[in-house]
Amino acid sequence: MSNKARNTDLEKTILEYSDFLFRICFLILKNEQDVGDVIQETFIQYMRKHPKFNNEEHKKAWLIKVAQNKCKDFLRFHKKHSCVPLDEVEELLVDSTEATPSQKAQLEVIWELDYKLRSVVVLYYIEGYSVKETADMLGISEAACKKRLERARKKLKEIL
Amino acid sequence: MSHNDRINNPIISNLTMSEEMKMNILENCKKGRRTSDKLFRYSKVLATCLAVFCICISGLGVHAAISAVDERLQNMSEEEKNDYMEMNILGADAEIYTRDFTDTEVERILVLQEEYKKGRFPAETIAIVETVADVGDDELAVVKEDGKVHLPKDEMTDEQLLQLIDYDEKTRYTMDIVADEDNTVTTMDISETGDFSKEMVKKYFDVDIDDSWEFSVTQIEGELKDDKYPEYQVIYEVIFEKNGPVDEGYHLVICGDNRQLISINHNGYVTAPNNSLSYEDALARVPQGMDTVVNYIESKLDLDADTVKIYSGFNSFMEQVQTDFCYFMILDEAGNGYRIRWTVETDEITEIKFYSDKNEENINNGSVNYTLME
Repeated sequence: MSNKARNTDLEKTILEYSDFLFRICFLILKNEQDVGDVIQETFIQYMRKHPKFNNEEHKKAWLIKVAQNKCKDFLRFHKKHSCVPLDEVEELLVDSTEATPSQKAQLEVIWELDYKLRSVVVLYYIEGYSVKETADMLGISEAACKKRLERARKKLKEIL
Repeated sequence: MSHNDRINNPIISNLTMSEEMKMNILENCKKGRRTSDKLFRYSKVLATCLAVFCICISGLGVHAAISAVDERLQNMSEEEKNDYMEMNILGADAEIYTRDFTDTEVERILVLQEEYKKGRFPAETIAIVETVADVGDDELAVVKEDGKVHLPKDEMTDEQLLQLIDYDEKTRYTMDIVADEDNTVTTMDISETGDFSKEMVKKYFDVDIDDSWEFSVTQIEGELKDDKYPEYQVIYEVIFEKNGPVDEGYHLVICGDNRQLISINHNGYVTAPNNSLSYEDALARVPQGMDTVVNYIESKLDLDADTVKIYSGFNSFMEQVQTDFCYFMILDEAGNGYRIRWTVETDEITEIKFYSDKNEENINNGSVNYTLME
């Protein structure tokens, strides 16, 4: 692929997937700046590896997997990073419609889950991936994924 | 709550990245590819390092580390350096640790890395072993087999954490050495690629490249280079375009290490197969291609057609023969290989690739099945 074609592909990929990755990473990291760093690292890896994909879903799954791994690395060492207060989250929304208290509460509950549970909830319940796909992206077994979902469900049950 | 109970929360579904951040990421990614910044060049390896330590050290700059650390790194034995370089090459993905760090381990790392910078080093260096079977449950070791750092099941001691910090710093140090070596072996600077490429286009295609052509050059680095050209350190990709990429262009790949051309092609990026000819029709035209190729190699490559072996074949993709191009592989007595792409419809040579490792045994290891031409 020529230089120009690579740049075009990179630009297209960033424009197409950055919002999607931002949403997933933000739910995990809760810090806009960290999310920016993670996503940049993800796209640099994409550009450098230039992986061959069977289709767009394959590409999307690869990007999620890389971003998830990088989120995990960040979280290992940035547990004390400041998080965006919930009120400020609304500033990040395209739709300026004010969130309802129950929607805020739902987000609070998701954020209170630890990383392992939060990551499966984001992929399974928010992005709609299957157990197998979620497990593949997180690099865990299907059994472990189901177990985490079960634990997450218990915690989320009252709100959801 | 089942899978059908999707969480549909407008706060979540409307989360978007700002346009400014998108543009910043795009620009930074582009710079990341062009720069020789080691943080980007070795991003895969860096991603595996102890993140806190990485950030602290990169903030200071590697060379700003205090003298005790410098001295320790410079005194690494050759054997130890080789071990670390091998681990760099093995790379591993972001998941290099066999378990997560505990909160207290993270807190202690923060303290110990400060002490490390002041000269508190581990009593022993981290063990680097060949296989996972060599690691006990309570041992800390780097395993070459899987490229992972195996952490003990129990909370790590200060000594073990210091070994991890030491491992990370030595990894960084050896990456620096590799990067410096990369720079020293370059014999063609990127600024020379334009003139060199013009000469090559003139030599192989008889075309004068003037200012009406758009010129671009990229140094292929990191994993991209490693995948395609593992044997070379510095690769340049040069493109001359006229009236946009779909009209006309020349594409060259040059080895910066030895100033050798790896490939040159005319309109090489027009790759969409047309296959307007049947295989039988294309095959019937091969003798015509042979004549063109023989004339070409004698005039452009200074080869004597009587002393070389010439093979021909068509590329197959998904079990379909691509009839747009016929490939001729020429092997000379000196062991050099030349793959020439002949465009069947137009009777033109449109690509030459140069090989130093081709022989009769290995010419058929790609998607073209060659037959010796009599």
